[in-house]
Amino acid sequence: MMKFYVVIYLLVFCTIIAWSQSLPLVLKGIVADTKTQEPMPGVSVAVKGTSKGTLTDAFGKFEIEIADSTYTLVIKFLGYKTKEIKPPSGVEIIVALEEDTKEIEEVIITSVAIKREKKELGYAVQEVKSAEITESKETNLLNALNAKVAGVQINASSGSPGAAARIQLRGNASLNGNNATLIVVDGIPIDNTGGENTRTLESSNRGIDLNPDDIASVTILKGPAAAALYGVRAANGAILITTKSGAEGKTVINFTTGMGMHEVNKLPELQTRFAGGNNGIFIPFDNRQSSPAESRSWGPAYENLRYSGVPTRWDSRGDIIESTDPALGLVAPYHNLNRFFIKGFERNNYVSFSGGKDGSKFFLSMGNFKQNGVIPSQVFERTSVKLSGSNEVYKWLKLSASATYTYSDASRLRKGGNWSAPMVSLLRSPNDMDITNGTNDPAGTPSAYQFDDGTQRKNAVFDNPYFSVNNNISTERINRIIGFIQADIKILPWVNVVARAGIDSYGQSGNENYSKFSAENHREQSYKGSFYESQAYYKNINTDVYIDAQKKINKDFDFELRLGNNYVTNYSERLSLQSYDYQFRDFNDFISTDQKSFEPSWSDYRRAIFGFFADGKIGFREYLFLNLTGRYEWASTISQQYLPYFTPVANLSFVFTDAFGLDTSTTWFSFGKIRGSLASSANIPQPYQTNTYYDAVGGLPTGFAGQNLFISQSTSGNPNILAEQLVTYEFGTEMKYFKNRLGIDFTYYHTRNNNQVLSAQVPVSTGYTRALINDGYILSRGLEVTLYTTPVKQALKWDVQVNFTQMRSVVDGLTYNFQRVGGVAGFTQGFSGAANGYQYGMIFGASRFKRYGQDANDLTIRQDLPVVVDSLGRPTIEVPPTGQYYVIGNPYPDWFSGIRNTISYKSFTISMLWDIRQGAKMFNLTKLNMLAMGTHKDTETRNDATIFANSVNADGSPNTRPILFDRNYYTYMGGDFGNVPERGLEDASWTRLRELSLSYNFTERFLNKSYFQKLTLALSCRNLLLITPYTGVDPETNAAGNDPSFGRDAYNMPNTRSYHLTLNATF
Amino acid sequence: MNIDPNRLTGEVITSKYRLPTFEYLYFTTMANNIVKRVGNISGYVIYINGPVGLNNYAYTPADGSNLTLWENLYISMNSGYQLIETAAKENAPHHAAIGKILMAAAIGQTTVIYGDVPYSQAFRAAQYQFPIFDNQSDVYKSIQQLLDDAIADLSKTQVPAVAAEDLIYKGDVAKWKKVAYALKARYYLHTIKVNTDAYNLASTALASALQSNTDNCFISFQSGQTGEINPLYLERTGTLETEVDPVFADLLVTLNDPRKDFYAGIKKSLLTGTRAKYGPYYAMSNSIFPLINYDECLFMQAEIAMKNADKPSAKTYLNNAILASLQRVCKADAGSSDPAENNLVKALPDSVLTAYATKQSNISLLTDDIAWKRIFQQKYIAMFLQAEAWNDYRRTENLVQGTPGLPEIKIRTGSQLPRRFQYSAREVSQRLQNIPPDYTIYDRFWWDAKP
Repeated sequence: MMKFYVVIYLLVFCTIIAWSQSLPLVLKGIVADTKTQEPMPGVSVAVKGTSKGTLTDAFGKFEIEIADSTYTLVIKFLGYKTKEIKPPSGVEIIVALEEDTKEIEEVIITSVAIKREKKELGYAVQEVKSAEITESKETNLLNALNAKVAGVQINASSGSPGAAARIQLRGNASLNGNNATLIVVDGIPIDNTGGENTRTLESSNRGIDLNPDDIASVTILKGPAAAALYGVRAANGAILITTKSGAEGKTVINFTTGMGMHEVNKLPELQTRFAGGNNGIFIPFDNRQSSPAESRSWGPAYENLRYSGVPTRWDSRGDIIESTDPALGLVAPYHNLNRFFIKGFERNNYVSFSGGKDGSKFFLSMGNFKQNGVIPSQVFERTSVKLSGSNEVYKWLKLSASATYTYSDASRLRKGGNWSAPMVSLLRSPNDMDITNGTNDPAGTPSAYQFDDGTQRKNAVFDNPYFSVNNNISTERINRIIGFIQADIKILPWVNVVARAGIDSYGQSGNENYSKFSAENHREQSYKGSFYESQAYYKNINTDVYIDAQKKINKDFDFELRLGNNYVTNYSERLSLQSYDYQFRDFNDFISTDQKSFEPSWSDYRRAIFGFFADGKIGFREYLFLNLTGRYEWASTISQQYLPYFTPVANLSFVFTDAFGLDTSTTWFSFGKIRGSLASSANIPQPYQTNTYYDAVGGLPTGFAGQNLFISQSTSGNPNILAEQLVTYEFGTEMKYFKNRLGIDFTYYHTRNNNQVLSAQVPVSTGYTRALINDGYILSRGLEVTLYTTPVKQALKWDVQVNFTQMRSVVDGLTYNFQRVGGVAGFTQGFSGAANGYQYGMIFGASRFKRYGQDANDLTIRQDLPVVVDSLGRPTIEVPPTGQYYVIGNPYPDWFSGIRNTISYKSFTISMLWDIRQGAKMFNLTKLNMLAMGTHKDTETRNDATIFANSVNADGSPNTRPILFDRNYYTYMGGDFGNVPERGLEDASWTRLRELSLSYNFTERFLNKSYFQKLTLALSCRNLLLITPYTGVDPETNAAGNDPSFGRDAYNMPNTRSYHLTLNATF
Repeated sequence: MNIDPNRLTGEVITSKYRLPTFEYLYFTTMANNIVKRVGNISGYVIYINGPVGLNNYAYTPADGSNLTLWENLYISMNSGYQLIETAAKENAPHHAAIGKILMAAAIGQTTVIYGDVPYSQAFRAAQYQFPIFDNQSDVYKSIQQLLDDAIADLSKTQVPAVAAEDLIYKGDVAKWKKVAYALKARYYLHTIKVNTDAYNLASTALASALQSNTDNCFISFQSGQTGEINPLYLERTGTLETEVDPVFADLLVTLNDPRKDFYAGIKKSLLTGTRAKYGPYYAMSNSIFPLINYDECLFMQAEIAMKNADKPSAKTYLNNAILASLQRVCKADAGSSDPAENNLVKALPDSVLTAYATKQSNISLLTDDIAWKRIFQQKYIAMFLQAEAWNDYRRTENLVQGTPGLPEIKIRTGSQLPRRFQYSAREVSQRLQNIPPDYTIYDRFWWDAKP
C-alpha cells in the first residue's frame, strides 16, 4: 500500500518538473480506489472553473484537453473524497481516490451488471454486504437476506437441511404463479426454480446452489423500473449478486472454517392423559396397524391402564389392559415426539485465493458445506469450486470469465399428508407405545421399529418414524455449472461495447423410496412399497451485447446512452419412472419391483426471449438525473401477431441538497434526494399454452386391450393469450442528517398488473375443466422505509438499521371469481385463492360457524358476533351460496420489520438482527387434525362439559347448554381434517432474534507476529429467541414450499435454532 | 418453438385412436361413477366410507362425487364429440356411428340424472364458453336423431373397416346397429308419461334390436395395467367406498336367486343381509360392464305386451328375459379360489336356471298389479348396477296404484326418492350466462311429469 502512495506522490511532484510543454495539452490518467487499487469507471474529471469535463471509462481511464496553463483538475466521485490536483501532461497519471467514510456506500450495481451512482437512480434499491450474508449462517442465500431489506418477504419452508425458501419482492404480481424474483449472478440470470413441495417432499429452490461465501454483495432491485433491462424476467424485481473477484497485488488467501449445531425450536403440544382408542375403550396395537379410524387417541385415561405382565411382541411388559390392579405395572405416556429430534450438526470449510498483476486478476475458491438435520437421515451437502479472472489484453480490450461448479446432494424425508412422514406419525399417533422399544439408538436399532418378518413395530397406521428414517428416504443430486465470458471493448474514449455470454446448466437426479411394509398407500395397495427416480437437465443461456456511451457535454449536462440486445433461452427436460410392489424386502430399486408396474413420465420446457433496449440518462449539474428506458421484446410463449411488446420506463432523481447548494459540512442536513419512476413491464405465459394437447389417458402405462388411448388435456389452450402487463409508479426520498449519522430512505409504490394469465375453472360442458385466459388484475401498494443511524461513534461504535415494510396485493376485475393460486392447491378445507376485492393468496373456505346477526351474503368471519348453536348446544355450521367462499384469513403480514444493531468496541463486534412480522395468519391444519385424532393438548379437557364460547341460541338468547369437546364433537366438525376452517386459523405473528453474532478480530499486535493479515473468530446464533402466539411449529413455515399458496401448516417439518462458531483467516 | 415437442396436437389423433378412447371413457364412467351414484339411489349400492351422507340422499351441488360424476360424463362426451367430428372429416361413417351411439347413451345418461343439460352448444369451447342448458325434450330429440344418424351411417360402407380399435364388437357393425335400435327403445320408454306413442315407437325399434346374448353390448376389462382393471375390482379390493346394499342382497337371498353369489358377497358370508362386497360377476379385475343386453330388450317387450294387455306374451317375454339374464350371469365360473380372493362361484346347471325363470315368470294367474311388479322386480335384478332402475321407477309412477314407481326401491329416508340431482357446482358456479334454474332434488323434469 505504501508503495502505491509513493508512486502517486512522485507523480505529483513530477507535475512541476514536466511543466514546460506548450498548450493545448492532453492530460491522460487513471483513477483508482486507494484501498482496492481497482480502476474506477464513471468518475467525474473536470477542469476547475471551466465547463470542461469528462468521465473515466470502464477501465478508469480519462483523457482531457486543456487550454489554460493554470489549471486544476477536480476529480469527484460520490462516496469518495473529492480531490483537486495539478498533474503534468505527457505522462499517464494515477489518481487515487479515498473513500469518504462519512458516506454510506453509494455505488450500486444495477441491471446488466452496470455500476451506477446511487444518487442518479430514480427508484429504490438496497444493498446487502457480504458480511451480512455470511454472518447469518444460512445455507440458502435467500434466507440470508431475510429481514435485511425493506419490501422483501422471505419465508423458509421449514428448518430441514436444504429446505426451500420463497422470496417475494413487493408482494405477488401474478395469478398464474409466476411471482419469482429474478436472480442474477455477475450479470447472468440463473435458475431459482424448484422448492415447490410436491410429492410430499421438501425440495430446494435452486438458488441454494450458490455458496454464500463466494458472494461480495447483493443488490435488490425492487420493482420493474429498476429491472427494466431484464424485461419480462424481472417483472417481479431482481436480485443482483456480485461474486468476489481478484484484485491486483499480493495474492490473498482467505480461509473460513465453521461448525454449527441445530436443534428444533418449536413443536406443537401433545396431550398426555389419554391412550389410544375410541370412545374411551383401548384399542390394542394389532388392531391399529392398518386402520386410521382405530389409530386415534380417544382411549381411556392412563391411570386406568396397566401392563398385563405377559410379554408380547409389542412390549416385554405385556399387553395394555384396562385395569387398576395395583400389582400390575402402570402405563404412562411416552414423549416420542420430543425424544425423536436430535441435534443436527453442520460444518463449512471455504478457501479462496485471489490476486493479480499487470492487468490480470484471478479468483479461485473452493467450499464444502454439510448439514445433518434434526431428524436422522436428513442431510444437505454442497461443494462448490469457483474460478474467475480478467485480463486487459489491450488498452481497448478487457476479457473476463468466470465458472462455478456446484454439487449439491440432499437426503430427505416425507412431510405433511403422508403416512410415511415422521411429523404425521409423531403428532397423530397415540403416545402409549415407546416407539424406541427401549433402545438408546432407535434409528440405528431395527428392533425398535421392525419385527423379524419385516413388518413394522408401530403404534398406529402410520409408519414408525424410525422405520421412515431408515427406509423412506428421498435423495436429490445436482451437478451445476454457472459461468460467463465477457469482453469489454473500448471504441472511443467515451464509447464502450460490452459483450457477455453466460450459461447456467445443471443436471438433477433424484429418487424416492417407500420400502416394502411402508404404510403409504400406493396404487390401491398398501405396504408394498414403490420406487421413483427422475432425471432432469436444465440449460439457460443468456447473451447480452450493448454499446455504452458516456459523455459530459458541458459543465451542466452529462449523458449516458446504452443500446443493446439480450437473448435468453431456457431449456429443460425431465424423465421419471415409478414402479411398485417390492418383491424383495431389502432391495430398494426398480429391479425389485413388480415387472408390469412401471410408470414413466416426461416433460420438456423450451422458451426464448429476445429483447432490444435503449437506456439513456441525462444528468444536470450532478443533481438532477432523468433516466429513460425502452425495451422491445419477443417471447416464444406468445403468438406471433402479439409481438413484440414494448415496455417503457422513466425515472427521475433530484438531489436537492446539491441543487440548493446546501453546505453539508456545516448544516445538520447532509443529503437530500427525491425520486420517482413510472414503469411498465410484462409477465409472459408459460410455454406451449397456445395449443391444446393430447395425453395418454390416465398416465402411463395405459392403453386398453392393446389399443392406445389419447385424451385432450383438461385445460384448453389459447392462441390469443397475451402477456400480463404491469404498470407501476413509485416515489421516494433519501435523506441524511448530522453528517450522515442518521439516514432515512422512504419509498411508496403502486403497481397494477393487468391481463392476468389464468387457468380459469370453466363449465365442464365446454369439454374442458379449465381454460387459459387473460382476466382480472392485481393492485399492489406498499411502503418501504429504511432508517439507519449511528447513535454512538466513539471507541464504541453503535450502528442501527431498521427496515420497515407494509404491502398489499389485492385482486380485482376477475370475471371468473374465486380462483385457486399456487401449484399445490391441495386442501379442500381452506385453499389459497384469488377473489375480487381480496388480498392475493387469501385463504378461503367452504364452511363457517353461523353467527348471530350476520347476513348470509357477508362472506367474512365476524369473530365479534356470537356463534349460533343448535338444540344440543353445538355451533351451527353454514355453507356459502354456490360459487362463493368464506374469507377465512390473510396469510400475509400487516407489516414486517428487521432491526439490526451492530456494536463494535475495539476488537469486538456484536450484531443483533430482530425480525418482527405482524398480523399474518396461518391455517393450522395440523392442529385441526390433531384435535380430531385426540392427540392435541386441547383434547385433555375432553370430559369437561363447557358452554361454547361466545354463543347464543338461534333466537339470540344466551346459550346455556354445555357440550363435550370430544370425539363426537370433532366428528360433527367434519371428522379427520375438519371443516369450518376458521377453527384452524391462528395468528402467526412473530418477533424473533433472527441473528445474534459476536465476533472478535485479532489485534494487529497479534497479527504482526503471525502470517495472518486478518483473523476473526465469530460465535453466531440463529433464531435464538422466538416470540409468537402460534401454537404449532415455528410459524416461519409453508406447507407448499416455494409456492404462492402460502400460510398453511400441514404437518410441516419444524424449524430450528442453531449455534455456530466460525474462524476466518486472511493470509 | 412454442409447440410442445413431447405431446401430440389434435390433428394427428385419428378416429382409430379416438374410438377406443371414447369407449373406454364411457364405460369406465358407467362402471365407476354411475354405479356408485345411480346405484346408490337405485338401492343397489350403499356407501360405507367417504360420502356416506349420500345414503340419505344428502345431495349438494358441491358434493365431490357429484362434481366428478358430471365432470367424467362431460369429459367422456367431449372425446365422443371429437370422435364424431374427426370421423366426419375422415369420411369414416362407421367410426362416426359408434361415436353417435355412445354419445346418445352418454347424454341420455346425463339427462336422466340432471334434466335439462348442455348439449347443443357443448364441447365447443372456443365458441361457447357457457353452453346453454337444452330442454330435456330437445335432448331426447337429439338422442333419437343421433341413433337414427348412426343407423344410417352404419348402412354405408367404410374402407378400411373398423377393426380391433372397437373395444366392444371389434368392428362388427351389424351388432352396433342392433344396439342403436335397442337404445332407441330404451329412450322411447323413458317418455311414456309424456308421449302416448312411446310404446309403439319402442316396439318398432325392438324388432331390430338385440336378438340373443351374443349381441350383448359390454366392455371386457383386463387384468393388466391399472387403467385396464375393472373399476369395481379396485372398489372392492382397494377404495372400499361402496358395497352392495344389504337390502338388495337380502332380496336375492329371499328369492334364492341363482345370481346372488355372482352379484354379491363372498359366498359364505352372504345370507345375513348385513354387508356384502361386490360379487365376482362384476368385480373381478377382468369382469365386464354392460351398456345394453338382450335381456333388457326382452324386459321391454314384456312391458309392452303387458301394456297391450297381452299377458301370455308378457309371460313368454319375461321367461325369456329372466333366462337370458341368468344365462348371461350364471353360465360360467366366476371369481377366484386364490386365498386372497376366495370368491369362486361355480357355473350353474341349466336346470336350476330354467326352474327359476319358470317360477318367476309364471304371472298367468297373478293379478295385473302383481304381474307388473314381478316384471320390474326381475328387471331390477337382471339389470343390477346398471342405471335403468331409477328411470323405470320414475316413469312407472302409479302404474300400479299405491306404488310410487316400479321396481319397488327401498327408500332410505323420508317418503320419496329424489327425482334428480342438482347440477354440479363446477358447472354452474363460474357461469356468467345461461345460468340454469336452481332445482331441488325433488323437482321433476320433463318426462317425469306428475301423472
